[in-house]
Amino acid sequence: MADTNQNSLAVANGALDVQGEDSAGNVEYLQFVTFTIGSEEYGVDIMSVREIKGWSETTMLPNTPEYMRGVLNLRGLIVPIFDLRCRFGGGFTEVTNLHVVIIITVGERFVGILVDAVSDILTIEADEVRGVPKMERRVDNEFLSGLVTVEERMVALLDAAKLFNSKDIDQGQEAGKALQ
Amino acid sequence: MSDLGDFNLDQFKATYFEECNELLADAETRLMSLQQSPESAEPEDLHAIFRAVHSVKGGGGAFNFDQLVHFAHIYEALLDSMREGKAAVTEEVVDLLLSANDVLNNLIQAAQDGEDLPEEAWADVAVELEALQSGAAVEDDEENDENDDEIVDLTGDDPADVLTDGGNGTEKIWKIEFSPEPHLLQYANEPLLLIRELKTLGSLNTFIFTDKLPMFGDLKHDDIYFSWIFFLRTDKGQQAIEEVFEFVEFDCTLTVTEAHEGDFERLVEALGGTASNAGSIEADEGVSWGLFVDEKSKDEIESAQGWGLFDDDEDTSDDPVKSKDDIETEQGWGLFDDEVEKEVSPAEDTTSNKSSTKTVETKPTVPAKAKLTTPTEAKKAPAAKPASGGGAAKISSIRVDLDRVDRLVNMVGELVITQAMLQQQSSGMPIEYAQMMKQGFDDLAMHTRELQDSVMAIRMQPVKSVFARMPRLVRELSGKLGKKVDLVTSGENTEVDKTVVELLADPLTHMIRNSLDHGIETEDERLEVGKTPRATVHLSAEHRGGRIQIDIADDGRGINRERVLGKAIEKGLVPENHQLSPEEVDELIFMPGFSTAEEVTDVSGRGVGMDVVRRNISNLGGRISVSSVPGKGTKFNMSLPLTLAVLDGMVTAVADEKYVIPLTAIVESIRPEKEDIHRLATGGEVVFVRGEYIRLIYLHDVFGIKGASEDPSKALVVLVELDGGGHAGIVVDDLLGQQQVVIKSLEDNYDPVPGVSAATILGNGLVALILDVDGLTEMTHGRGASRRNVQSEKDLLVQSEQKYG
Amino acid sequence: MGLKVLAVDDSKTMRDMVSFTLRNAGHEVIEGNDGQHALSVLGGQNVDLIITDVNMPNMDGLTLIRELRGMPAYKSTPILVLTTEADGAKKNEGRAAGATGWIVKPFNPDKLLQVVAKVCP
Repeated sequence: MADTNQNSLAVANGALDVQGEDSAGNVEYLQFVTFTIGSEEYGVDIMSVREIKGWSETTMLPNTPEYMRGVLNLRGLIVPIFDLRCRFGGGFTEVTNLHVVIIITVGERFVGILVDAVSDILTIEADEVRGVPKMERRVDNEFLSGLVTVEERMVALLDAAKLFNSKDIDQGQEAGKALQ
Repeated sequence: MSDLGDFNLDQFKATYFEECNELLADAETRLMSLQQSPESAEPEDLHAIFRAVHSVKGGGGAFNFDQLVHFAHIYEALLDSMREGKAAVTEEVVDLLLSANDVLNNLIQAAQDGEDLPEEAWADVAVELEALQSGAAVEDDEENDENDDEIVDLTGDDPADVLTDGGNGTEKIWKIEFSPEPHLLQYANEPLLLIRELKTLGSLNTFIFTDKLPMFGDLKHDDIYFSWIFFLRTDKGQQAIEEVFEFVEFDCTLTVTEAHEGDFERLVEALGGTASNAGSIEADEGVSWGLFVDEKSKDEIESAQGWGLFDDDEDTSDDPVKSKDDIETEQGWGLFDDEVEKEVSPAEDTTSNKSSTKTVETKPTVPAKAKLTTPTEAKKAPAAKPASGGGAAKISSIRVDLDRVDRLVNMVGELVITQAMLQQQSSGMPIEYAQMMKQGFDDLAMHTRELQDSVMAIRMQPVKSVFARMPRLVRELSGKLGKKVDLVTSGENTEVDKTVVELLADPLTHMIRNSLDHGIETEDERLEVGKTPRATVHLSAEHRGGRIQIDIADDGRGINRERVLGKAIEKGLVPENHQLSPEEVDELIFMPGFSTAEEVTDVSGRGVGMDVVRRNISNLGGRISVSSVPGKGTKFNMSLPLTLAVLDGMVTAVADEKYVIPLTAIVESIRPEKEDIHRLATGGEVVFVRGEYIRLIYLHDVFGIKGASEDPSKALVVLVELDGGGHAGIVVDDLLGQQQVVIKSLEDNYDPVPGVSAATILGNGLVALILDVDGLTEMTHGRGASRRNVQSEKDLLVQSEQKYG
Repeated sequence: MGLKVLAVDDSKTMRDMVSFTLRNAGHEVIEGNDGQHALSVLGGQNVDLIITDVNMPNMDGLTLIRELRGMPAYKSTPILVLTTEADGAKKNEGRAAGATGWIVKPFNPDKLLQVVAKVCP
C-alpha cells in the first residue's frame, strides 16, 4: 500500500512538473501511458496510473462478466482485473507472462486492466486531441475520451471513469453501486 | 485580540459529544438503579449524576449551546439540592430526572446536529424541575438565576470584555488603596502580579508603604507587610480595576475611588519633602514609602543616578498601551536601589518576554528589606526539593484514534499473511534446513498470533455503551404504548470489537421496539391472563464459541403464529395450505416484505422490517434467530463474530479454486454414501444425515467452476448452519485445513459478489474468497429470481467457453 | 518561558481545551482525570501552576487543593479552580481550601491566559 502510494506520487509529480511548465507557456500538455491490445494502441492518463506489473495469477470471481478476470493481491489490497480486449469485444485474452496489468485508480478504487504490452509515455498538447467520430463503428467508442495521432499511429485515449462507471460492469448485480 | 487565531472550538466538539453520551448514559444507569429503591439513594450516585450534568453544562457553555446549558443548569440545580439533602428523592422525582436526562440527551443530539429544539421539547420538564427545585430551596433559586445570567454573559463574543470592563474612551484617574492582610501570600497570590496587571489598564504611579515591616527577627517569610497606593490613569471603569484584585478581595482592604484634583500632588508633596535620601524614609504621618516606576523609564532613572520625580502624569499617553518611546520620554519618579534592581532583574526578564508585545510592565523594584518576601523565591525554594520524585505520570488509559488502531490491525494482518507465506515456502526446502527453521517458524507463528490477539484486544469494547441506550428506549416506548415494562440487562461488560459494538445499536433498537410493540401485552391483558402487570425484557450478552451471543427475551404473548401465517399467505410469501412447522412460521417474520403490524406504527418504525435486521446482522457475519412460546414470550438470539478483522476459516478446494468457509458456520464435514443422496423432483439434491434431509449446494455449479468432482460421494460435503437454524451441505472437492484469515473487503475496489462475503490472502499470496453460506443458499433455492440469474450467468460463461475455449 | 501546568478535570473536553490553549501559548501541560489521579500524575514533581475542576469523582478539586497545600512542594504553587459556579459561595470554598484564584467556565482562550498571567510570574 505504502509502496503503491510512493509509486503513484512519483508518477504524479512527474506529470505535475510538465504541466507546471505549461501553465507559464500557456500551452496545456497531457501525458498518457500508452499500451497495445492486438494492433490497437490506447492511452490512459498518467495521473491515474499507479503501477504497471506483469500478469500474475488471479482468483476468479464467480458469476461475473467474462472480461472480469478475477482479483489479485496487490500488497494486501484486493484489486479486480479487467480484460480490456474482452471488454472491447475482441475476445478473451489468452494470458502469457508477457501480458501486462496496469493498475489505475478510478475515483477511490484501484482497478487493474489487462493489456498486451505497455508501449510508451506520450506527451501531447491538449489541442492535439481529436474527438471520437460518432460514425466510427468501434465497440470501445463510448469509453474513449479522444483520439491522438502520433507519428502516423492512432492512439485512442481511454476514459477510465466511463469505462468503469458503465452499468454493465456489474451485470446481474446492483448496477447502482457501480464504480466511481 | 487573541494571539490564538487557530483556536477553533469545533475540534473539541467530537470529544464533547462523545463525553456527553458517556456521561448521560452513566447518569441514566444510576437513575435507573435509584428508581428501583429511591429511599436508599446512594450519595455517590447523586454526586455522579450531578457531576455528569455539570460537565455537560460546562462543556456546552464553551460551545455556546445556550439552550442546552440553560436546561442543564435547571436540571443540575435540582440535583444539587438533592445531593445536599434539600430535596427528597422519591420515585416521582427520579422519574422526572429520567425525563430530564432524556431531554438533555435530545438537546445534545440537537446541538450535534446544529439545531435548536422547539421549546415544547424541553420547557415542560424544565418547569417541573424548577417547581421541585423552588420547593426545595427558594432562596437558592434566585441565586441560581443569577448564575444563569452570568453564564450567558460569559458566553458572549468577547468575554474578555467582562474582565477588563471595556474601554469607554473617557479617562479618569483612580486612587487605589491596597492593604493586603499579612497572609495574602499564603496561597500564591502575589502583589507583584497585581501591580503588573493594573499597569495593563493604564498608566500607573505606585507608592509602597513599608511601615508595618517588623524587625528582621520578627519577620515571617510568608507574611506580607506592605501596603500600596496607586494612581491609575485609565479609561477602564472601577469594575475592571476591582477585578484585578478579584482573587484577593477577601485577603486585603481595597478602596478604589476616583482621584480628586491634587490628590496625587498632595501625596507626593507629603512624602517628597523627605525623599531626598535613598531608601525608606519616615514621613510626617509616620508612613514610610517607596515608589516603583515603569521599567521602561528605568534607564532614565539610572542615568539620573537614583531617583526622581514624575512631573505629574499630565502628559502620559491617552493610550493605555504605551509605546516604548512614549514611556522612555515620560518622566518617572521614584526610589531606586541599584542593588535590589540586580536581585529582581531575572524575574523581570522572564515577565517582559512573556508579554512583550502589548503590556507595559510596572516593575516594582522591591526594597532590600522586602527581598526575603519575594514570593517567587518563597515558592521556588521548597518546591525544588521533591522535584526529583520521578514525576512519571501513571495514566491508566489513553484514547487512541481509531484510524491508528486500524492501521495497526492492518499491519498485523499483513504480518500474519507474510508469516503464513514464509512457512509455506519453507516447506519446499531441503529437510535439514526445514528442521532448523521449524522452531523459528513455530515461535514466529505463536508470537504473531499473540500480537494479533493483543491488537484485536485494543479494539475490544464492552457492549455496555450500546446496552446503556436501551433503558431510555424502553422507557420512551412503554410510555408511548401505555405498557409497563422493565428492562433487565446482564453481561454489559462482554467485550466485542468496537465496530461491532457500533453496529449493534440498530438491530437491538429494532428488536426491542418489536418486542414492546408486538410481544408485550397491555397491563390489562397481562392481568387477564394472570401475569404480573409489569412486563420484563431481558437483554443479555455473553461470549460463546468465539462469538458474542445477545439475547432479547420478553415475557409477552409470544408470536401469534396464526396471524403471521395468515399475513404471509395474504402477501403471497407462502403458498396457501402450505404445511409449516411452528418454528418455520416464526421464521416468516424475517422474510422480506413481511410486517405483522396492522399498520406501520411509529413505534415499530419506518417500514423497516425484521428482514433488514437479519440482512444487516448477516452482513456482519452474524446470525439471528427467534424462538417463541405462545403466551409465554419471545426470544431473539443474535450471534456475532467478536471482530470483523479476522475469522477462523476452513480452506476448501474446488478444482483449482480455493474458498474459505467460516468455521463458525461449519457443523461438520462428511463424505456421504451414494444411497444417502436423493434427487428432488423440483431439481436439486439433498443428503440424508441423521434423520434430516439437507440440501446440497454444488459450489462448482453455483460458481461455474470447471473440472470439479460432480459426484458428491467422491467429494466432501461441508455441513453448515444457516441463519434461520436450518442446514445446507456445501459440496467441495477437498478440505485443505483450518486457518485464521484476515478479512479483506472485495467492495473496496469492486462490487458485492453473491455468495461471497469477502476475500482474504492465503499463504501463497493468492486471493481466496470467503463464502457467504446464507447467500449461497439463497442463490440456489427459494428465490427463483436469483436462481435464474445464476443460470443466465452460467449460460453466458458456457457461451464464452465455446467462443474462446 | 513556558510554564509547566497541571490541568485536572474529569471532563476530557475541558482538559483538551485547557491543554490546547496553554500548549498553544507555549506552556507544558500534564493532565489529571480527578484529584487522586492528579496526585499520582504529579508525583512530587515541580509545576508552576495547577488548574483544577471542583466537581470530580474519586477526589474532588477542593480536597485536592487541601492535599496539595499540605505538601511542602505545592504549598505556594498557584492553584486556580475551574468552576461554573459564579457565586461567592463556591469561590469562598475554593479560597478556604487554598486556591489562588478561579476561572469561571466556560472560558475563552484569552481569558484563560489572562488569568494564568494574573497568578504566574
